[in-house]
Amino acid sequence: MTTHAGQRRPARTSPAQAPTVDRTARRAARRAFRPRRRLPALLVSSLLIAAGVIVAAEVISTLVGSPLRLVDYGRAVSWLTGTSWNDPATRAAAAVISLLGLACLLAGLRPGHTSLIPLRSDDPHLVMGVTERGLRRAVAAAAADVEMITSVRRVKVRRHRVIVEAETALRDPGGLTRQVGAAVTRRLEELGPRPRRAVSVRVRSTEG
Amino acid sequence: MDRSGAGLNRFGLTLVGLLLLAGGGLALARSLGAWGTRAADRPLLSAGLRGFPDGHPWFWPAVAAGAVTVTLLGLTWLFAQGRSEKLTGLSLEQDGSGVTKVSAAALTSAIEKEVEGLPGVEKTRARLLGSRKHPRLAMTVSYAAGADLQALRSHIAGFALVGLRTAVDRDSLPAVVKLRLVDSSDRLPEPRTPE
Repeated sequence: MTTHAGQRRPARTSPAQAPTVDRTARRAARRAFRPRRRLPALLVSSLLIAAGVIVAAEVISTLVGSPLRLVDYGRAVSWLTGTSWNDPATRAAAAVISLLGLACLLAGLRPGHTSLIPLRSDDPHLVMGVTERGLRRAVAAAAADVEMITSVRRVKVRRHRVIVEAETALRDPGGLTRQVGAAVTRRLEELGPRPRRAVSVRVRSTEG
Repeated sequence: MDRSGAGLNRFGLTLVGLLLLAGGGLALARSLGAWGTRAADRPLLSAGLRGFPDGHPWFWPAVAAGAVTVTLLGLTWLFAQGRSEKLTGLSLEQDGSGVTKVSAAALTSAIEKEVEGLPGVEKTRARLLGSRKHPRLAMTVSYAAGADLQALRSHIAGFALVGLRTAVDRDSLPAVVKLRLVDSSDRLPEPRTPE
């Protein structure tokens, strides 16, 4: 993750290179739908300001000759001189600081959850994404359009798989499973959610 | 979508994280005896360290300067959160006759109306982001369950965007489109998909 670019330049790809175009668009999509990490940034920057203000106020007021005494300096010094490095309190404090650092580091480095599923795009300048709910509904509609399917009970969208559970009044749902699978696969092909998802279908017969 | 401050936030969080982790890790290492048990037994603030500022008159002013710097950096970072990449207008170059200014609102409301006319679309919001030289479109389309996602997608990609690109006289205007399914009041007698 070396790109911190807020500015996205148009990628230089010729339309003939379809796979490259798609990859460029996909990468742009992933970045566009990623969180900006505003909440952790707000929190950490506020803490930095608070710490900076307290230290600056304390030190400058003392240098000027009228100490504010926001912090009990004497007590802090006596605690620091009376506590050794291997004191449990020191260890606990060091561990807490390390954990806070780790949390900040993860907040900064992890790619972050994207709430949208990017759709295939033939245009490297266009990035389109759909919500998981939207994709689920589109899949359910495709499955429900298959004849003799009475209802679509459930659609699950995973990262590499779409699972459809449907019901039919027919006694033998064998052929329907294939039909629903084909319909859903066709719909997914049209929409092109990335990454590509395989389709699993379970059709249950409501006839005892 | 609006990426203002995203890079800065990553950088800031990573830097603060590294500093805290390094400080905490070193303290933990010393307390666990990485530099010998004698170092671990010493107090946090030794007499030598305590006397340091007395022999070095620059110490406290340096601390004050450091604290002020940290405060200013924190303020800069904090204010960056409120910024947006939104553009209010675009300059279109014309052959020989200079530049024409177009308001972003005029362009975005045109494409909003265009897409809102499609069946099933409930609401659209389009914004121009980036810089005047490198603008890009960010658009959120809220559609109802009855809309055909594929038709919506191909219309936006093949028609609405082309119109906007022609309007701003660019072959390629980067665009990010977010398609959101929102429930409408008139639900189709269609698949029950539990959330």
